[in-house]
Amino acid sequence: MKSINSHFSIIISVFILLFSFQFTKMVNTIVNDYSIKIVNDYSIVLVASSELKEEELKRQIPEIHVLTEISSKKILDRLKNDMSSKNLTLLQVALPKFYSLKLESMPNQKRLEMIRQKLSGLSSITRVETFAKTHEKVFKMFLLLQSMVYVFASFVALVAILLIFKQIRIWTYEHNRRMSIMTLFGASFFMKSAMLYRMTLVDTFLSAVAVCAVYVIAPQLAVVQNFALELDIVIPKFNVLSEGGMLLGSSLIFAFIAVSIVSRKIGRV
Amino acid sequence: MEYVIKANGLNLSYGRDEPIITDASLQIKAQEFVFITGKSGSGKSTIIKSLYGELFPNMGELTVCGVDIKNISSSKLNILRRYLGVVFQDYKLIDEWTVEQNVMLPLIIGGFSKSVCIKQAHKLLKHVKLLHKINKYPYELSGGEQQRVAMARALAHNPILILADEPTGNLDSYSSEVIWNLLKGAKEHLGTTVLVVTHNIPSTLGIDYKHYFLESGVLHEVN
Repeated sequence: MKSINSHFSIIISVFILLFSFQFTKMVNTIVNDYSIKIVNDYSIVLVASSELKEEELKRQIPEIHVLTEISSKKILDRLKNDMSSKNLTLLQVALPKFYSLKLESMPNQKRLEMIRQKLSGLSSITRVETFAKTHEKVFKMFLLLQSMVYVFASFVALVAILLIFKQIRIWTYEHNRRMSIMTLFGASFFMKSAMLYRMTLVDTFLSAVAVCAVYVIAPQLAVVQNFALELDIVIPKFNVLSEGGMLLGSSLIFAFIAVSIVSRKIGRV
Repeated sequence: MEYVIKANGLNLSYGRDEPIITDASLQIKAQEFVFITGKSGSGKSTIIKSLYGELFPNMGELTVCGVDIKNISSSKLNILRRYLGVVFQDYKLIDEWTVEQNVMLPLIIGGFSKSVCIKQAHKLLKHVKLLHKINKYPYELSGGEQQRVAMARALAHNPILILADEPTGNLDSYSSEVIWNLLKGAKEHLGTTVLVVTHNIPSTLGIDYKHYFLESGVLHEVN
């Protein structure tokens, strides 16, 4: 019973640690995808007296992704019935040029204000509309979401690490006598730690497999899929080879470090 | 290697406390049977501890099997310990291992094959009359039986030197006899050097031995 408890406590601790690690990674990917979505939905509107060149603007503001001219044809089409064609031509000539400016990443408020000032400083630009208030709301929500994920993951990881340290203390107590006796008979560091290494490697391997199983199965569940659909997010696919391999590698490294701490603690007799 | 153990001007203490052993000198040749006697708390066990490297000398020289204990590295100490057979006062058996596994311990550490380990463990357990308890755990045995298992373990790998700390303390006469016969047999048949720390030397030992007496931290050779 004592042995089963010992196995479970390490399996659960490592499971929590790996799960929170993978969860942070997954949410980070979702948040990054979402931020691309926000960037794609966001644009600055420029009103210019003459034609603007994307290359020239990029030289001053490197984060510019694309500059698109907003066609005035739609406005003119609407006025077609109310104005004569002569007046319409005159209006077309007098009408300033409208541009939509898309950025490569989400700027913060300070940077957005700098971009606005740089654009306003250009002689050909008569007006800049950054929709700062809307942008600020979206941007703050985005930052809040990101921070919440990091705080949550850090908290869970901290709890897992505390559990692991508790387990190291238990191991030190449980294996102290056997390892000390083996040391007195000349067992090498690895020989006296072999039993603990074997046990920990098996337990951490099981934890890594369990975490992989959760991340492979969970996105296929209807509940999770509906939830993602409601939030308009795409849950990234779990790559068993690369991500599973990384989780397994991390768990094995963890096992090695934990057992080495115990063996060093018991130390030379 | 003329001397298996050689100590000159040896001082031993625990931490920064007053020395327990002062200026001790000890020369033990191969195949000798040696007793160190003395009152309780005189430092007999402390000497044994220094010989297998659990305690290091503060001053003086100490060589065991030709190896300088004072400046020994951790890996060399491990190797030296593989040539020693130690019988501890508190037996130091591994509780979660069976009697057979406990006896096999020095052989496993020595890198012997499983069949050799089993064969040798069975042979020694037969000697100590415990072959029928091969699959028992130490906590299922009496004190005398545990000490006999500890003795079998100390002899399992045919060590150069046996260090026995009160091997018959609190044992019944039967267990004591088994242990003395084993120690005698190790010296006579295997040429093992034996150092025993004890309160009393058995009167019916029937072999030549060297005797040191420890008093107030000073070691005297008794003729």
